[in-house]
Parts: sequence; structure tokens; C-alpha cells
Amino acid sequence: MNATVSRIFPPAIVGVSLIAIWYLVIYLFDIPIFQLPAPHDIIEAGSQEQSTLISGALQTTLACLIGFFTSLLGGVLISVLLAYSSWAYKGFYPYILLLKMMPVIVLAPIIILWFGQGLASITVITFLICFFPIVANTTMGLCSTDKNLVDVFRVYNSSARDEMLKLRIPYAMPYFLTGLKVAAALTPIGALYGDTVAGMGSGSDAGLGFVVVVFSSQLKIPALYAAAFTACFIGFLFVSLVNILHWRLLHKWHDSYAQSN
Amino acid sequence: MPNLTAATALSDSEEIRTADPAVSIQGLYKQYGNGPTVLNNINLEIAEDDFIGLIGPSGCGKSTLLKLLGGLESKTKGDIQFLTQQTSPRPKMGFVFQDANLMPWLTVIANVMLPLELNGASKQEAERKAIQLIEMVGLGHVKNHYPRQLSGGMRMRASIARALTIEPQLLLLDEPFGALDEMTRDDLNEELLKLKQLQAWVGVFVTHSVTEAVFLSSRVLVMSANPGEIYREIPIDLPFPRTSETRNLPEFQQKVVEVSQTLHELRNLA
Repeated sequence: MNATVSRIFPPAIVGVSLIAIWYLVIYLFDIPIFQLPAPHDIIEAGSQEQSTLISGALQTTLACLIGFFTSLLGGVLISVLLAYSSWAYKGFYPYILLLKMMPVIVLAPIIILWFGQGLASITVITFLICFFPIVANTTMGLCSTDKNLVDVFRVYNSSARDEMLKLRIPYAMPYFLTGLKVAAALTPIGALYGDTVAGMGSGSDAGLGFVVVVFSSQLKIPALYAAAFTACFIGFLFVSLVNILHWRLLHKWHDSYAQSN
Repeated sequence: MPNLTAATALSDSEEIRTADPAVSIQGLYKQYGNGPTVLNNINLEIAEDDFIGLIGPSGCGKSTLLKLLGGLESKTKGDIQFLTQQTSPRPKMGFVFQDANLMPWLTVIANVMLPLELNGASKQEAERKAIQLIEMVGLGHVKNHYPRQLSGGMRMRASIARALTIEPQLLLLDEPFGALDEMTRDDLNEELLKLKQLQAWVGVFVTHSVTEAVFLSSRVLVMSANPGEIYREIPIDLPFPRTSETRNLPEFQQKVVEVSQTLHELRNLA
């Protein structure tokens, strides 16, 4: 009980204080609503634009899910390939790096040219943003297996397959999950950015990024804030998902959870 | 053929022994690339009841010799023959590393089962043998714990159990107790000898501790560095089973002095 209180109390205090300061600043400096709306303005605007926000959020979440899971699958597959063969590593890694160096902002028009306006382009943009942290971290994990543990497998005549499945992949798990955490935080950014450049504005097809563009052009400032918080919430969902996965896979053995046992 | 004469000289001194040789090393030579010679003309016959202690200054190649035996390094020249088995070129081998080297994501029992599973044993069989050994090394109560929950001594016990699950014909130990405190080390030394009685393996181990070398070994090989050579063989003819009382015997103390003096001699030569 005490532990729960001490965990909830500090963030609650800080949250309430921040909202109080927010109101105080608006009151003291007489800030107009289009510069900084008060929390209750945002809530009101949010409930007025409820249907637009919810359908936008669903559309964006869909783009996030597709982009995130394809980059997860693709990233892991490529990493295993790179780790399996040093030829593949030497051959492909520079080009993967090159792809990473190329800003998505520059690639976006090309992607739209290839995949057209809409969900396809948005998910490709999301994929590109998530892919690299997964590949970089997973490959690093697979290639930095503790030499001493490799020796254990060698002494007992392990097959290359067993060495990959029972040693290198479990060893790389914390690295992979770190990459996944970074990717999860980037996912909504990719989808929202994709929306602003490749989104379509017809009704329920409009993602949250597009909704933001529309609100700002209509100067619906409190609604813009509501959209920002909705986007925040999607990011929070993804990061929580990965955090739960991280905990489930690592808490029993990994040192990052040593304190809790 | 200087190698041959050295080998014969060694095997002559073996005549008192009744056991057959299990491993025969002839003219073994190891060099990393164009670097200095790590091992120079090693000739050694290891008998079936031997427990060989390798001791010497750092850089004398004792760990390299062990890794060559374990197949973790490849030799530059010479020959290692395993005579205990007829069918496969390598006998069943257990290796206890300097660090416990347990897989942190596996429980104690899963770690101990690993060598059997890598060699295609069924899960039930692996589990049965693993449990037996875990009980034997006194880790029954923590068999479902993860390595990070164990003390250093317990991890080393698990590591020894892992090396013994495959019922090795040859057990190689690379400074296995170097990181442990002296009490734990003495305890594990005694347990290791008990295990050797239960499971007849040929043992070769590397150590920095003179008392450990004398306590465990049937023969102590003192090695010299640059290049790594066998400088002197000191037979330890204290009777088995050896217990903690063995350490108090004057003969034991004598042997400790003898090995220490040999190491001093080496230092003065260098």
C-alpha cells in the first residue's frame, strides 16, 4: 500500500501543479485562447470534434500497427541474415546505413510517387522510420555474443542452428527490445508525418496527422491541442506495449530488473 | 626426431602406473600467427586415472594447452590422440571455464541440461540426468533459479554440474575456482574429488594455486613461459580419497613446498 502511494503521489502532485501553473499563467498574462487554450477549453474542443479525432486516431493507429509490425518482422529477418553471414553483413550493412542517412522527408515524395496518396505510402514512411533502430540494435546484439558463451556451445559440438536459436537470439533479446522501444516511440511520428504529406482528407480516411493540418488551417487551436494529446496517447500505447513485452521477456533473468527481485 | 625421445622418456617414467593412457600428446606446438611460440614441443601421456594439474607463470600456455585439448583452439604442429574411445575422433568432453559462463536466460536446471540437448538427447533424459547432478552438487533447492540469483560458488557448482551431465570421459577445468574465496574453493575442491570417484573421468585442470594443484592432482606439471614448455613433472602420491584432513598431512605440506620451490626456481631462471 505504502509503495503504491509513494509511486502515485509524486506524479500526481506534479501533474496538479502543472495544471495550476497553466491556469495561473493564462490568468496572470491574459493569454488569448488561440495562443494557449486552458485545459477545459481543450477538453471542450475535444468532445466537440470527438468523431473526427476518434476516426483519425483509429486510422493513424492502423498505419502505426502495419508500419511497426512490418518493420519488426523485416528488421529481425534482415538482422538474422546479417548476423548469419559476414559476407551479407559486409555487403548490405553500408547500404542499410545509407538508407538510414537519407532523410525520410526527402524520400516522402518518391514514396508517394510509387505508392500513391493514402495508407500504403503512410505505412511505408512509418516502416522506414521504425526499421533502422530495430535492425541496428538487433544486429548489434546478434553479433556481440559473449565469446565465453560461444565457447560453451563449441565445446559441446553445437550445430550452427542451435547456436543461433539457443545462444545468439536469446543473447540479442535485450538489444532487440531496446531497438523496439526506440521504434515504438518513433512509430506515431512516422505515421503522423506520413499523414501530413500523403494523407487523404475524405471523412474516416483522414489520419490524425491530416486532422492536425485541417484544424490548424481552420485555426481551431483548442482542437489542435486535443489532437496533440490524442497523438500522445497513441505513442503511449505503443511504448507501453513494448514495455510490457520487455518486462515479460526479461524480468526473470536480465540485470535491468535486478532491483525488483 | 627429438620429440620421439622426449615422449619415450615420459612414458618410461609412467611404468609404475597400471592404467592405460587416455590421451597422448606428441610434439605439440602452438603459435598465433607470426607471434611468439605459445607452446613448444609438449609431450604428455595422460592415464585413465589421472588428474593433471597445470601450474606456471602467466603466459606459459597452460590455458592454451587446455583449449587445444578441448578443441577450442587449433594446433600449429604435433598430435593429440584420444585413446579412450574407438568410434568418434573426440571423447565426450566436459569443460569448466574460468567464469561459470552460465546462460543468464536459463534456469540452473536448463543450463545443466544444455550440453545434453545440444547433443540431441531427449528432454526427459536430459532433465533426469541434470536433476541427478544438480542434487549431487547440492543445488537441488535452487534448480529453478536464474544465475543472477546465485552466489559465485553456487554458479561454479552449476557450471561443474553442466560439464558432468554428458558423463565426460575427459574433464577439462580452466582455473575454475580462481574467482572464489578460499573456503568455498577448498569445499569445491573436496567435492570435485568426490565426483571424480563417482564418475570416472580423466581430469586436466589449470590453476594458479599451489595448494589446489597438490590437493587435486595425481601429477602436477609445472610449466615455464616463453616458450611454454613442461618444466617439471611432480607426482603427488598422496592416497585417494583425499579429504580436508589431507591438507594437514606433512606429506601434503612437503609437496606444496616442492611445487612452490619449483615455481621459484623458474622465476630465478627467467
